[in-house]
Amino acid sequence: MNRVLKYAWYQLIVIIAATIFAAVTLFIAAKYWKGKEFSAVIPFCLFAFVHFYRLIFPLKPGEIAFDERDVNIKNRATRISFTIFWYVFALSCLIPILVIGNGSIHVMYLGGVLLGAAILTRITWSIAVIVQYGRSSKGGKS
Amino acid sequence: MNKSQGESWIWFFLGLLCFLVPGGVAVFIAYDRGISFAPVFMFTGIVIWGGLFWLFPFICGKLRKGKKKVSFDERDQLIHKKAVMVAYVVLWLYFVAACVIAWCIVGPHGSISVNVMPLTLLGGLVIFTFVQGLASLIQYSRIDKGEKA
Repeated sequence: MNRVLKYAWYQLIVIIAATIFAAVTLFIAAKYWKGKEFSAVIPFCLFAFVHFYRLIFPLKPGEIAFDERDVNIKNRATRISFTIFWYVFALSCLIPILVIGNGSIHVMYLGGVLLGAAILTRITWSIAVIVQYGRSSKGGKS
Repeated sequence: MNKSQGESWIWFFLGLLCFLVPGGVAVFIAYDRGISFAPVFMFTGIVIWGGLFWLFPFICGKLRKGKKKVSFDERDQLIHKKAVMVAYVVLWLYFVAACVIAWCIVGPHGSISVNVMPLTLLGGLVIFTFVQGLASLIQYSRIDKGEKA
């Protein structure tokens, strides 16, 4: 398997697993750990594993990290993921107005939107890379 | 100034005008008469337009492809793609900064007015268009000076 494609699969699996872990941990903390001390780092610690790819899968001698086609695919995926991010950003700014009207929102909402946008951008990037490699292996235009 | 550079300037000012004028009108209506359908509709329109505005030079290039004279070649495409990427990165940084600054100002238990959100969005649109236009102009000027694009 191509190294960039392998990274995309790795990132997708780690992000989805970390999101499920964070959701379960937060649910347990909210239901059974209420009022007790709880570090916010614990539910989100698994996201750090995204950056451990090079440590877990180091570049073997003679292996090529990426060529021109991979760069094109990566750049295209980045543009697609940023376009998705743009719409998330716009929706997160417009939805509070439509729902609340002239009120105010908790500042934690911004933190949640930031985290959600970051996760969605990563997931979109991975899916875009996987789809492009799938298309190019079938003989389509990458 | 060559033709590509001239077009880049036109896109730069056109982009800023397209977001600043309706965005400013929407903000004025929202603050003067309160939130209603009209300003929200205008903002939604600006968002859809803003998200797809960077595709316009590509579409124009494709439409002109049938003509003999080439006005949007591969080099222009590369410059445009690079400029869009730079603008998106700056937009991401702006979004992170907006969230973190709000957090720092009101504290972790505070709250912010909902009216700040469309202003943040408008700021993002203007920054995106500005940086995209600026990046295109810088790349064209670098090419004119004989450097690598």
